[in-house]
Amino acid sequence: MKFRKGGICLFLWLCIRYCSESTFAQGQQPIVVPQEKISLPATTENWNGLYLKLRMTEKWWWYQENHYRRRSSIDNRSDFIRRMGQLYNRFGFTYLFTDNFEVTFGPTLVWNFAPDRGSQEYVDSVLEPRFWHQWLLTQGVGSVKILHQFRFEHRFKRSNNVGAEFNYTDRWRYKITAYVPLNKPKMENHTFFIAPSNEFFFETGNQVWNIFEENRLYTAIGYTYNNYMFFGGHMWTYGPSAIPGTYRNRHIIRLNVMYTIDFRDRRRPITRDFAF
Amino acid sequence: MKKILWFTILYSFSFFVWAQETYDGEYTFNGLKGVGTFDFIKGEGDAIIKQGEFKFIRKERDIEDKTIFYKTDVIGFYEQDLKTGHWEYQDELHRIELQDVVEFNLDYDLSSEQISLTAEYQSGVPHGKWVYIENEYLNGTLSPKSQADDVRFRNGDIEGKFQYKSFVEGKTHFIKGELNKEGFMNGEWTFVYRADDILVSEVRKYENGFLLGVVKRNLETDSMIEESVFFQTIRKLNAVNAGENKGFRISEDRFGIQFNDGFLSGSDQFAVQRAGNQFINIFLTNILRYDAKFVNPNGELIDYPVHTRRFVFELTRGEQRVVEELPGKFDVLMSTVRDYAERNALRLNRQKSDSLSYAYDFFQFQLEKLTEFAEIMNLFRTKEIQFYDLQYLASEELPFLREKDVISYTFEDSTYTKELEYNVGNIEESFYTALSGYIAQIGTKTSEIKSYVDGSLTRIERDDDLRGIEGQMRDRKDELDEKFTEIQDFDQMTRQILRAVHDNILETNFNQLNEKYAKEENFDQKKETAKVMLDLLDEMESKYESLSKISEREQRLDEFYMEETFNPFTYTRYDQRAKPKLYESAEIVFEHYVEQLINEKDYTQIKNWVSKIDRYFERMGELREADTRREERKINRRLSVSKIESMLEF
Repeated sequence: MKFRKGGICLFLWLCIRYCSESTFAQGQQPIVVPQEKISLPATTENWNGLYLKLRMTEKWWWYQENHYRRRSSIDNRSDFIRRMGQLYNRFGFTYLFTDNFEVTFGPTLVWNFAPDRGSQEYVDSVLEPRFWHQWLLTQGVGSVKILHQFRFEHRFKRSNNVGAEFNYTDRWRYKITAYVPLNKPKMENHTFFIAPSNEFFFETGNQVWNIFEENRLYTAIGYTYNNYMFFGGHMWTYGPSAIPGTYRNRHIIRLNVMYTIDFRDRRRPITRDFAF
Repeated sequence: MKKILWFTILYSFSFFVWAQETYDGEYTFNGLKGVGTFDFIKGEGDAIIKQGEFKFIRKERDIEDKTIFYKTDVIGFYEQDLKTGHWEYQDELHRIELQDVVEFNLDYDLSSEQISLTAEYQSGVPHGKWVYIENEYLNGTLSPKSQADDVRFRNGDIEGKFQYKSFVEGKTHFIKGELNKEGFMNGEWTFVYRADDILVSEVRKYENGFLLGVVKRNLETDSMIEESVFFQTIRKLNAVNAGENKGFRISEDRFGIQFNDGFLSGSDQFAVQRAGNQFINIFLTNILRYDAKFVNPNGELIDYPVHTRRFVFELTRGEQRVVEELPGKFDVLMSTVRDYAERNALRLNRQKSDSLSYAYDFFQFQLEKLTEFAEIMNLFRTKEIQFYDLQYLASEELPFLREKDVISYTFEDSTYTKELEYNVGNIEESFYTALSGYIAQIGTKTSEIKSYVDGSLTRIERDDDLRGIEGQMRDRKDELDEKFTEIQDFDQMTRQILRAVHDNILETNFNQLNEKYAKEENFDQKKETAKVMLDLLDEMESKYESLSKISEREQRLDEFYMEETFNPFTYTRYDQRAKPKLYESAEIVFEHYVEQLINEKDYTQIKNWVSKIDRYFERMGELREADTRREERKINRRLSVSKIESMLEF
């Protein structure tokens, strides 16, 4: 399947338009957004993730990712790990239409920890359930592999404030990633690679004052080793905070291990004419 | 009583008539195939005994020349399977040449020969008057060719006057003579015949079987051609007549037409009789062609109805022993000389030295020389030598009994001569001793040269053997050096293996053996070392293919242990190692084998490492498809080579 750039653009425009219209429609008590844009100082975080893709059949996969996310302390925004951030668990079934197109759907269970754990003002952790589905298209440009990931999350989310209520929001994400092999002509086993990516987050919902949720610019390096892929790097995020007119940005060190296994037990040699 | 006698006679007669049978069918008469009709009775063991009238007819076309037609008619009688009474033979040969067919009539030329013979027999042998007529049919005219109209036999021998005439080109050739009652040629015999375009008149003088002299004249020029008087025979006859013969007497035996009183075939006395004897032989063969006792199926005269006599000489016991033993010794000597004269090794190597060149020509010379002895040795063998006047024979200067032989030989484009001296001895007084001694001298000289040749050829053969091996080794070594060093087209591992094996085995190991070979003095041990060196080269030649394929096979195994995988994170398909732990552990063993192979300095061990590597590939091929989860759980690269070998059953 070939990715069509024009189609993607049209899809994004429609999403934004729909979200904007929804925002205006929801405005029982319109949120006033200050004219002046305030950028908060950057904070730091560390996300450690385990990604699993287990092949069940020719087309069906089990998808799972478990993140252990920490963030910097309140008084030191650059220490990355002093506070617990999230326990992030995503599950799903993937249907691989072709090598270039797959669809995944399933639940996500996220535990969001309080910004100041132990404080009476906060619940220590709150569960954020989501239903998500993802449409992923890939394309090869020379030795570079380009991934277009459209992810949709339907979230039931509340803050850690005591007594806060759950709000339903929809999240619309698009990520473009490039895998650039460094030591091989293409992405294969034992390949060092660099993978820059950028992801746009849009959000719609009653409490949403800005459909633009975040932009994540991520530069990672990785290595493929048999069934593993080691993947890590720096991610910079930028987007509005819960306070209208106020924007935050984060520097996140991400360390990920990907593992895949083929349960079909298909260990046939690829070369059939080997003769001794 | 009379009645009984008559009954017995009648019974016997009826039994005889009843026992006699008649044959009529295919029959071979004296080698001729035709149809025979004859009466016979059965003898012991159902043997056919011809008894009564006999008829034989033969009509036959020549197998090769179909224009020739043979016809034979024979009529006669047998008595107890022996010819008896009157016999008539008619033999015809017709040559028919077809010229044309005119109005269904053949136009042909016919030329024929016809022999008519009327013979008389008694108890199977010629006895009585024989008439022989030979006619020739040419150009429509039958004319006589030869005839003998009054030949009288007595008990198988011709007796009395003998006359035979033949007509050739308008001239009459004839034989005329007389035989006494004992069948010996006697008195004057005249032969008129053509020899070498000369019409020869040959007159011989016989006395009771002894030929005393021959005179040959040219009838057309009346000039003397040849005269030979056999004085030694006359002297001996006189001595016998005077009772003064010592050491010899007249033999009771009867001999053929060739008179001999000590004549070898090359002598004048022998040669002077040849043409006349040939003439009479033709006649005798013609008239006796139907009697197997005289003429064999090949048409050769094997017995004579005319005879000559000879003297017989007394031999001492020593001489008798020589007669008995000398032919055997001569045969051994002849065999040796022929063997060496025909020996290929001597012929091929004769130019290797002056002595060998001489030896080669020595044996060629001796072979010819000994061949000259063949006739006299045959006389020894048949004991006919006792009828030879050896004093006369010796006086004729026997050509093969020389005091000095000169042998010329060529060596390196120069011709040399060597002389061999013999002591001929007193050949006239003691012929047997002298001849025996002479042949012994030939034997001694032959033995000396033979010993030299044996030693030289053995050395040469050994040297050649070694040279051949060395040449073979050199060629093969060069060939292998080239093979093992022309490695630029190979990958690094193959280059490393081939270079190491070349350096360690083809250079170091080979040179060690070569040094041992060079120092070795003993031929057998030297050859043994050479065999080891050849074995090394064989081994390298046979293993080259395997050695040069190790890397390629390893790469193929590497591929074989790859499987295509789809990476669901990068969305790429690529080949990935299958059974990585097993493969990577096995690689340790493989690397060990290759390392050992590269460091091996003993050529006999190369095959072991190659064999282990073969087994490695074979086993890895098996393990690829096998369920190896158990092994894969236990194995890892940190295990020792022997442990991995054991686990994977290499």
